[in-house]
Amino acid sequence: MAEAIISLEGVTKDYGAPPRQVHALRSVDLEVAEAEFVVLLGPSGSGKTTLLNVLGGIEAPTSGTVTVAGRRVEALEEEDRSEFRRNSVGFVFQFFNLVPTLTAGENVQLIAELRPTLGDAADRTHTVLAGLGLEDLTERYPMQLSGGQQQRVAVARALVNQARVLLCDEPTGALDLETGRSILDLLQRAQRETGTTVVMVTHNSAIAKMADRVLNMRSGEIVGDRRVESPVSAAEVSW
Amino acid sequence: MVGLLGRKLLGDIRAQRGQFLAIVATMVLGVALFGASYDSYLNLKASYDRVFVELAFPNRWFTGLDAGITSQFASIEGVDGVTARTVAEVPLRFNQDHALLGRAISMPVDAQPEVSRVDVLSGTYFEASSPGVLLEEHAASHFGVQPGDHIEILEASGWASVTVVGTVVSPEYIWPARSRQDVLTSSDDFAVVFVPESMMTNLAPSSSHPEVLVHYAEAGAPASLDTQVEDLGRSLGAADTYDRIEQPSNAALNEDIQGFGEMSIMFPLMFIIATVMGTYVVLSRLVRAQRPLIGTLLATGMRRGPVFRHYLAYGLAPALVAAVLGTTAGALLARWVTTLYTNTIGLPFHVQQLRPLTIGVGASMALIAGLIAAAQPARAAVRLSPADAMRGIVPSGGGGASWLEHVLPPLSRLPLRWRLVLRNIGRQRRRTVYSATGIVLALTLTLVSWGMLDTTQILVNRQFNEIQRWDARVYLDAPATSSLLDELTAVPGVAAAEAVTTLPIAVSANGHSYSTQITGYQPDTQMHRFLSDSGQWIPLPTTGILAGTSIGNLLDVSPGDTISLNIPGTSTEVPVVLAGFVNEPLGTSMYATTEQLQTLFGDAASSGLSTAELRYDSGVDRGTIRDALVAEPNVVAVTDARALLQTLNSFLGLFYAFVGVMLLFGGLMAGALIFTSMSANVAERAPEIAGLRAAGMSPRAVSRLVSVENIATAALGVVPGLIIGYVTSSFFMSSFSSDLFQFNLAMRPTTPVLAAVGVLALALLAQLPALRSLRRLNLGSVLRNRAS
Repeated sequence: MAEAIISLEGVTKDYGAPPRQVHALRSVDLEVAEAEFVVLLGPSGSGKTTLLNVLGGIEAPTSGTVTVAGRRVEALEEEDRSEFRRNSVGFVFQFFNLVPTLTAGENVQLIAELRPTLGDAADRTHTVLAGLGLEDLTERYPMQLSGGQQQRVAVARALVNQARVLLCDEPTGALDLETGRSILDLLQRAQRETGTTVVMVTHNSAIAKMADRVLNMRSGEIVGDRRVESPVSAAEVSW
Repeated sequence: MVGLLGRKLLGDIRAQRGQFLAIVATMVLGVALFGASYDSYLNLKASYDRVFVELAFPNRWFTGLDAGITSQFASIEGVDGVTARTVAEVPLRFNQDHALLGRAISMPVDAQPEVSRVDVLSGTYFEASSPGVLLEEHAASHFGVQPGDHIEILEASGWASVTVVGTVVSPEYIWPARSRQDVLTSSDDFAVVFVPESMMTNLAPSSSHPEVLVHYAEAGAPASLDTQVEDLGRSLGAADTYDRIEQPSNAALNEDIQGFGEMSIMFPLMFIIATVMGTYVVLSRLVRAQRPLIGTLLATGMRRGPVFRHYLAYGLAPALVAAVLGTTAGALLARWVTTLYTNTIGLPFHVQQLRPLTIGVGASMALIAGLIAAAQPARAAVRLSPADAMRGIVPSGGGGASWLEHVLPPLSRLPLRWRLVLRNIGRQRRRTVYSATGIVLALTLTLVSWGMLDTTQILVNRQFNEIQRWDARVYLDAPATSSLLDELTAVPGVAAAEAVTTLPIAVSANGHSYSTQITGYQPDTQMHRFLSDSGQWIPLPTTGILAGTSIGNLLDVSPGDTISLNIPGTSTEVPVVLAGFVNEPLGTSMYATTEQLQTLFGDAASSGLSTAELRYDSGVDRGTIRDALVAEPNVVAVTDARALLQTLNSFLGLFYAFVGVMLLFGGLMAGALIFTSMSANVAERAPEIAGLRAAGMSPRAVSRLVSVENIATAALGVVPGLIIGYVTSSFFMSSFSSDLFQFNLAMRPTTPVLAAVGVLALALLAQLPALRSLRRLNLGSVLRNRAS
């Protein structure tokens, strides 16, 4: 197995205080190898999104250690967590959260400008949009785009800073089959072509077929961890 | 269902308590300010009216009429009292060494006069057995004189000691003004003493004149009665006449309470406008956030009426709270302000009333404001298509380059973050307009308050340092010959002395007349400078006279016209050319050379006490010089220009407090509006902001973006705010202008700059809660849920 890019040890996450305390994560241990495509499956309230947020430094764990791309995420201060996210991870959410007053290209470029050391932000934006086949959408504003197109821009935004880990929370949840497939294709290409690690949360077990590894969660615990022998391409996924 | 909606209402208000509190606070300020200022205004008017009734304040005064004709006035129907008396300008001496030019007014012994009675505060009214004098309260307080004490009065035979038997309040001297030209008088320089008729005969005859006072039976006597009385007085040979409006004390007080009246409408209105906008911002945001819920309610069969009323209640609920708190605070404040004011002025009778109408209007203001503000969001709620609404919340504002980018295409080459700021400003245009309007209102309130302060300070400085150049005016019991002037100049600390002549004068032209005073100076006088209408310093003309600018309007005359002058009590009308106007903040006086006055009026110009004005060396002890001057053989009274300035400055203390409160209120109003607007912006954009944060934009960078946007929005209001504020301030100040005061707005150049910087700093402060909520944004929660 390749070197682990994600490593969790004894991670717990509690919300609230007793007696109404909710244990969202219960002593989770996990290692994910670089360039792995991991799908997190589980019912609502099982802790999938919480785990994703903990990985991305959006939420701090109650206890345990979280190491992503060589950084101890749980120990980082707020500003450092921002820096960690812009350098190491990219997020794709069910809702696209694009800035409506910026064009598709500008939405991507705004994030590209956060890492000036990677080169000219406009050039990188152009490259990533072209790579994802979105050149024609560059000058359009979010309200002029369909849901699928907006999600593709959101993926471009997540990739533009060369994230080593892509964290996706139900990225196809608001999309129809065809559009959802195209998003999954983008993610799979990112993983296969650039070696990006993808961790995707979904309800949809059909999507698990394209993953290298499937984790099942229930009540804050990883209750299943299996490898997929021959992951299918995104185009073959159907639900 | 309605009960449940009520609980939802309370829950929503609790969830957005910051914004609702800001709305309630602004509304309370508006309603309280209205109640306080309007009731104070009515209380003060009622207090004055009561004083006027209790003490039979005259309706009309005549000078130059003798006691023999009183029965002719008394026979006119509607006249219920006529009193004849003698008034004399006479030197008085307090505590053996403080001499001033005061006024002695005769009163009957044993019984108060029919008209213009006095309220005895201490001691007794004088009786035949113990004549003595009554001292007006302002002087009594200032010099610490009590019944039984002695003061001195300059009689024809010299200084005479008299016993003060009582201290009194007179309706004619509630504000102790010497004349309309001398409305601001220091107690160091002016005092009024009421004396028995018999004592008047001991005074120098040239200093006194007879007066007849007429009182009408009804407060609102018809104008025809006043015309009849005035015509009779003039036909009997009255030298001058004036009514209540022109009476110096009453005129000065009227200016003051008129200010209350104007403020009671203008300032509260600003707060109510701010409240309407703040409420609208919060409620329109609330309706947007609750689109899915509204859609569900409508889809499940709830009629639009209850939904409309439900959202209307969001405007009415804070209005109701504000109405209760505001009217209560207003009533209490009105009580406090009335007491403070009447005590400061020294009114003997106070009227304090709780007026249901004021409470009703104040409460209605709040409720109507709440309804107006909530109507549009409530209408938007019921107009939603349930199907659309249930699809969830759409990001606020559309895409597109900003208006500025369209107008100035080079702006589209600005760094992306700047473009983002530009576009976000125009994203919710109505909200941006309201935020900017908050700044406009705050700047208007600030500039009106600050403009009053600046104008007062600048005009006081202009009057007392630039126009009036004399340090002291001395009254002499001998002609101010050059040898006497030399003696005065020889007093250590006195740099120069000049003889001046001041005469009471009635000026007339085009069928109008006006009573004022004319002062004669030597042509190259060092004691007074003359500021023309166009702001130039001009010399005193050797032919023709200069007059205060108000004369132009009062008599409908222009420079070059011929006007008539008459010294009251004489029958000679002297024509003279009006050489020009002078722009003087205080009073409406006239000026000529002494030589010209002598030519025009002959001996009349040199009757009575003669006067000299002095300039001191710099840095001298003024008290020592005053004592030395009083000790000079021919000096009977001294007026110190600085004492008047000090008196003015002491009045300004209250004024500064008022301006401070207004600035604070303006700040609160703008702060509340900006706070609600910014909070709504941040709450509405939470998903996209969370998206940027998740992508690695630091909280600091996000705060900077939002701050720049907020300040830019606020800055939009600065230029219109400064213009509207200046114009309003100018209008407000001009409403105080009359022949008593020329209050043309004078604003320091730094004032608009400081006001703008202050308001922008306030905008920075007001956004802090919104920025804090940004830092506390629960990214996980916001990103997981589409709604925010």
